[in-house]
Amino acid sequence: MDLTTLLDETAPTISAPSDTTLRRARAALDTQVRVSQLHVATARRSRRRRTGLVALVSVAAAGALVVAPTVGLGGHAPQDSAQAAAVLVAAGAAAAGQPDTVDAPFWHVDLEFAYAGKEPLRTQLWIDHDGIARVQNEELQAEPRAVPGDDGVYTSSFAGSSLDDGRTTDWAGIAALPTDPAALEALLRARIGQDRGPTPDVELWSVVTGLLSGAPATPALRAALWEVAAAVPGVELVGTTTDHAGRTGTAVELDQTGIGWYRERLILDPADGRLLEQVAFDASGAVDHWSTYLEQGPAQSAPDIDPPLCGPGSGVSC
Amino acid sequence: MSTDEPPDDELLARLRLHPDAIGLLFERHARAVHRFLARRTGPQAADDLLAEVFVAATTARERVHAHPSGSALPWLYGIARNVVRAHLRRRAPTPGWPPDDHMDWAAVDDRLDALGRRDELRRALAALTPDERDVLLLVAWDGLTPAEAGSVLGISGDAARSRLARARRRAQAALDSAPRKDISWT
Repeated sequence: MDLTTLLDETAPTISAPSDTTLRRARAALDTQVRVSQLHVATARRSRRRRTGLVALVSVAAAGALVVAPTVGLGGHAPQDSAQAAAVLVAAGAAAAGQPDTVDAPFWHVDLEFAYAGKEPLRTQLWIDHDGIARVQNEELQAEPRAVPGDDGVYTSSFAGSSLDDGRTTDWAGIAALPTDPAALEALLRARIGQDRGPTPDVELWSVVTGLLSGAPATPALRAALWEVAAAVPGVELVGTTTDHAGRTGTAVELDQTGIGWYRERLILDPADGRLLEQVAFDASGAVDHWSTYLEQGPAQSAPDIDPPLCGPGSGVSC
Repeated sequence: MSTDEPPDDELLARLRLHPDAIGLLFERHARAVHRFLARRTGPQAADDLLAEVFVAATTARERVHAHPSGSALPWLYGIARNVVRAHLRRRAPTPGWPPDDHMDWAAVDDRLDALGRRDELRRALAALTPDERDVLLLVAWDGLTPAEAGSVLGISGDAARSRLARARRRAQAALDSAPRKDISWT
């Protein structure tokens, strides 16, 4: 047989990928683009220190620009761990009264992220039940667009918190987490294992704060997460302080500067268990960056997604 | 592609400082990359690997070099080829087919059986080195020019043309030889 004929006859006939396949792939790609754009913006502005990358990576893991690990907001000397635990357990009890996620089509997170000495970057996320987030980002909107048809509202894949191997955690996955604090801690520690993060305790802290800062967690899960946070060795009470939005809250800290990370501070509202702010201090005690959670909760609507840049639905052929 | 849209090589040049340009390349080439993946891994795995290719392309954008043809496809296929290799290395080899970390032959066996061409194709491809198989199939099944296939494989266009000519000669000679009942690479 002629080789050309054989190859022609055996050339695979492949069906086109489904719209769902393309949508999921595009969502994952958009997440990577968001992170890459932040790296570009960071490089352009000569933002200091490579350690800031830790924040960007954590942010990406939480779905887009959200989670920077936290550390103290300067000023107060940390007090003992028992007091910190008591504050966090109380926050957990208060969090049980937060609005439930049931029946809401979206989980909305409105935050500002800033490096010390820089203007805050406002970002909003609307995360649907499939774990797909619509993202609005002031910085990205302000960037000159390399391609037409984009007003700054994107779809991207919300990666939940990197509970185990970085797989996307959708609402169902988060809802499946136990709400008993001991069972939740055991599960999270089992998923984290011994090899992730600088230490298992620091990684547990990172996962818990990630879920508290950007995940569509039910009030019961949120309450359990605060209790798990209270059990992390080394967490200390700072006391009453004010976040960058001017709200008064109670601050706790976990000092990770001994392993080259930050001293992370969480500011929470003891009245309702809301996470108000995360602040990261460097080893010298200076504020490095922070995330202020202006609003977080269920939402009934979200901005429309941009049409595709080209192809079906865009009016522009590729 | 409409005339007011930037061509691939312009988008590739923009990528380093404007990573969102990958979005237009995705809209333009996702289906072709999916076909490339599906031919080598089957449609189901291709669904899973499609995002990996474009995410990897975004992270690798600082090392991109546009092909002289202007098309981004050779670059994307090269990345897809690496993704396929990483995927297939996690799987056991397919009995009866050559050891190959660029093609999941089990995924294409059923189709070849239906065509009644499996033994012939095996015979032809068995005569080739893995590099020769790559360039032959990139041209025959993926529609690349020899120069574009060379870009995927990281060799010059001349080297790709030479390798393709050699592959075709050897494969045709294998087809012309007396058929054997059993072809095995093991």
